[in-house]
Amino acid sequence: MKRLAGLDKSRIAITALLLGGFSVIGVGLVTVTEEATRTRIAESQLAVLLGQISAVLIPGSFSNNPADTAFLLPDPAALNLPPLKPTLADPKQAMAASVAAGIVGFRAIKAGKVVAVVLPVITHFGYSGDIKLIIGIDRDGKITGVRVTRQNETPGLGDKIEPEKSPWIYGFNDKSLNNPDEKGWAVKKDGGVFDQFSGATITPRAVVGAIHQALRYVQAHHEQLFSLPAPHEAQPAINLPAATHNEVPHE
Amino acid sequence: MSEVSYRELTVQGLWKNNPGLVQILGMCPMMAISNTVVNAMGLALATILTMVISNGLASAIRHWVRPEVRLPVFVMVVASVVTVIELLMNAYLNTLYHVLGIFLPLIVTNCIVIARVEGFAARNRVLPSLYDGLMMGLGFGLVLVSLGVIREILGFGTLLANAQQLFGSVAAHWTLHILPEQAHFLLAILPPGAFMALAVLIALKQGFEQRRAARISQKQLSLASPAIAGVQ
Repeated sequence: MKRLAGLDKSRIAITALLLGGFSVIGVGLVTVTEEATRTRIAESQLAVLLGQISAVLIPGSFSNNPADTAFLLPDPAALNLPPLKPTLADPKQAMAASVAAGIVGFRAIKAGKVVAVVLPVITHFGYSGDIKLIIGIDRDGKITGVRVTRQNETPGLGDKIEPEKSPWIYGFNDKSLNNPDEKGWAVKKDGGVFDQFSGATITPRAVVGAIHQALRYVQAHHEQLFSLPAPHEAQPAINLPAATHNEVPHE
Repeated sequence: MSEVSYRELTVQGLWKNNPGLVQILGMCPMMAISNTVVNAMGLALATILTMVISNGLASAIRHWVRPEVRLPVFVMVVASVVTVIELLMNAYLNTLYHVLGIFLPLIVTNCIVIARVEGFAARNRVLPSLYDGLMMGLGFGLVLVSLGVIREILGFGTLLANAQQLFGSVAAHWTLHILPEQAHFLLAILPPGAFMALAVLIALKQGFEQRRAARISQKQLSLASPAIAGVQ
């Protein structure tokens, strides 16, 4: 009996070691891949982000890389953005997390002047879940472009807010708070100037409302949004690990 | 542990024991990601890779893994493989990675993967295990892509839309427009459409099998009948 128990113990130990050993190998494999793909993943994320930002700005109207100008928006609740999580100690990490969450703004700059801002805005009035938009607004309060970044609307009906499905979203270009007037910022069914889709009114109504909200937000915070960031505030949206290695050491 | 025939493995994976049509495993990703061909191909590719590599690894370590911890070790192998594939797809097929979303990491929970690892790779040599993973994965992938073809044509009227997400910028113009917009059948891209399309595929396979069985039994009957006639 005693010998058997002893055998059992060693058997358990060996089994546990085996399990542990395989865990270490598994974790090692994942770690190596993570290390090898980190730069590439950051680059892809940056490319996606830059693509989204450029889509809502007028090409050639700015000379900076807007993705490097991520800034925290004042009063994010006014755009229905979720509040910032208890911030991470490292400001770089905190900014990266905010960028990933899509709750930061970007500035398009030319000749030392902010020519346009790019803002995210969320509406809770979608037909199935929140609709997330990104919108570019220039210094005069005119829209330079709008794109949907996340939606879950009914395929074939509500998803015509996507530019791949319908040119509807381009109809907001050059619009502003005075063009059309307050009453016009609604779908035609509600007495406004924007088309709804046959079979889907809720989705366009939600999008029109969100864009109107973003325009009023920019009017309310115009000075803050269109002032150049202090140099120390300027933050690249995504830190490429390769770049951090080449950083000039602090003096 | 009898010698396995590669021919039999092929037939089992692609037809007789097809994961999608016969075992009906991995339904969740099958229903969710089969709305377009390119999405289906992306998930099929990831699943096939996972099955081949997991089967190979599980078979290679099968002598060292004790029965008490076999399942946890195999789950870990599958999870590590899927995580590695997920990272690679995030790096090299970024748009598709975002389209597949949660269904990429969820390959870990696809029963067909662990079923082949536990049911086949744990008992067989490395080479047949790799081959079994490939055939079972292909069987799953083919059903996934067939569903994608049916649903994309009926629902969106296109084929191979967004092919650049998988094949790079050369594929940007591969999209075929097959049906005019008025003919789009919305139901096909909604979840009920997925179930109906899968039901049609299963019914087709069953119908084909039954017809073949009927033909074979008829042949046997006609072969046997002269003998009967002779007796009479």
